[in-house]
Amino acid sequence: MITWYSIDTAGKLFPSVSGHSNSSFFRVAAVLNEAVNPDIFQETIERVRPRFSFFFVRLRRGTFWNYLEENNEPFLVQQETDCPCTASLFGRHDSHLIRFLYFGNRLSIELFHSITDGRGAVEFLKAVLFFYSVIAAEKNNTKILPDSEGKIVNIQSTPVIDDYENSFLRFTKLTRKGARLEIRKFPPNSYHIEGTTSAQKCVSVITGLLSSEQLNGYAKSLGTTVTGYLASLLIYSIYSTRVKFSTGKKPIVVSVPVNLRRRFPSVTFRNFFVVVNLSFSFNNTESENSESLFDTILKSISTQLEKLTRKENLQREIDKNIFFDRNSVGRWVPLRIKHLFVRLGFNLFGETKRTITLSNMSEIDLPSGTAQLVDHAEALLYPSSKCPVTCAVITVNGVMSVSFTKTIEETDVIRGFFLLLKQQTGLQIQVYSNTDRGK
Amino acid sequence: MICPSCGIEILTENGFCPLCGIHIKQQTAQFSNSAAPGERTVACRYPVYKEKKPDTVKTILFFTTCVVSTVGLLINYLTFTRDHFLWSLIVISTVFFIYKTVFIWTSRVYYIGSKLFTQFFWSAQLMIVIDMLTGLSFWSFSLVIPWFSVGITAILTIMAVCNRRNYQEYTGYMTAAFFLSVVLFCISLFPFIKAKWPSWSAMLYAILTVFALFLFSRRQFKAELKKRFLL
Repeated sequence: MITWYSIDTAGKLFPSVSGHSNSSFFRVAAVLNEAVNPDIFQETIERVRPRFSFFFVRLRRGTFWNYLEENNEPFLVQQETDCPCTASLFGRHDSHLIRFLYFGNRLSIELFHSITDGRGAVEFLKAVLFFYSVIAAEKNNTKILPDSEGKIVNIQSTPVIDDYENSFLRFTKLTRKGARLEIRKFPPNSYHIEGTTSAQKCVSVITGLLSSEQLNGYAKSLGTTVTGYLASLLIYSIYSTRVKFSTGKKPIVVSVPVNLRRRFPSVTFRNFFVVVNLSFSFNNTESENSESLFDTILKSISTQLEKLTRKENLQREIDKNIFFDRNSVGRWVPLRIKHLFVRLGFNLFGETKRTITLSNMSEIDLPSGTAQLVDHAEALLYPSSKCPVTCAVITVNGVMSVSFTKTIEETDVIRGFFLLLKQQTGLQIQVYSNTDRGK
Repeated sequence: MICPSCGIEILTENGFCPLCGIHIKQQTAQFSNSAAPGERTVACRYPVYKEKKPDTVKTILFFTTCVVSTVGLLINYLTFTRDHFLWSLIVISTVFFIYKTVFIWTSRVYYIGSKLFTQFFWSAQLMIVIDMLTGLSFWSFSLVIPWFSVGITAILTIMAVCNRRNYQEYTGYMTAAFFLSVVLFCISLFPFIKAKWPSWSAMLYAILTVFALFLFSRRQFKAELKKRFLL
């Protein structure tokens, strides 16, 4: 009997909204200190597959819902030849929701967002890197220190239901009867970064590497978190490169996915996150000079971030997700029709309300033996037509990588961001890209 | 290399700054991270992506379809006072039917069951258009479409029996075919459908198929229904 899984509450959105302009595939990658050995990589995948069997699935269409079905086809590691985070063809036996890619020193895993979120992907990457280093050591007749601190998922154990549970259902306080949603006033449409669509129709990546310890220290000295600081910096760079010169001043909104596992005790590898929108409006800020304007943004964003990530607010977001999931009318609408409405709702109330996404996947804590193998990590989000620039942050071995992905030619916002970051923090930043001129 | 314009260290092999696009002159840079600059630049290298070739055949086919349709429409418009017959709509439906058929059967996106169902809907649409433009005697609903439905169920049954590996997939489609015949059965109850026996035969055939599925593989069939409907 083929195993199947229902898609979690947050993951149900992605099959409806994904397409060529919004692939819903994101990437976590590690740049190693040596070239990736594809044979070892393949062996690693075979070794971790039974423990992470709930990732090795394909997307299937039901009558009212999509679901995930165990995929018994082989999952082969492939040399990277396509642009990062490209869309996938779902209606095929060999269409995978997870891709294993390598090129030179880069070992990448691309995942469709319906199967997991950033945290789940990072845990999976950690397991892959650990067993890669173990197998590599075995081949070289050397020994690698075991994971004595329990940083890696034990692959000897079998997957338990907690690993792939829909934690939204577990932590909701919304009762089935009499559930009501507090309807708030819809926020105004946000400013959107526009530009010339990239000629190759390829996702461009610009990554900056810097010291996480120093940036943490700097953010703390300003009385905020790294996410709060980077979000403020993004808003300021978008303002100074774009909004400042435009007539209508729509708010700049940074969407930040929040990992709920920190506030709610869940060990699920499925999606368990909500998105909070940090917004700043420039209506009454003309008179302020650049320094005081940045301080105003920073203060506002830090306050919003602190307020929106309080447990009671996150609880409200969980309940909101569940409310739409349990909606009795929507439940019995055929999938094809549901797709149309979900896509419409996503465009109207999701895409138009955000300017850019900033995802901080925090630190990858690797066992010391494996950490030696890795130079730095990369996290790449998928851009969309309305939000053509995204930003993701990930840290390993004290090296923080800030990766921008974009589908437009213009680099002004990204340049402004890195210049400002260097100017304010004085940190040494190294930048590289996947295209000839970064364009 | 440090970009003189941005003042930021760039790990590039081709000498271009990804931030401002200018070509950077070779400069000595100070590196503080663990990996040597050269090593990290090489490590961060991305591949040259393969170019996606546009599907020229499909584009030509689509263009031809549009040309035939518009030319047909124009000729029909110019000769309408003489013929009083909208034959161009039949031409348009037919060429789009051919285009969709080629698209469906050459596409890598669909499963075989999806291909059959998509083909069914396009064929049904063509039949309905021809029926409407040739006097609307409802032969499409009463005769042709029910037999299409029987054909789909039969093909899916044969495929399920021959290809046991993908049995579950066909079970889902056969259930969908059952609901399709229910719809056709309901349509046949309207008084304007004169010949009711094809729809009723299709319905009976679908019921027997689903009954057989239930009888021979009860557990799998129930599991499949649960999965499809998330019951």
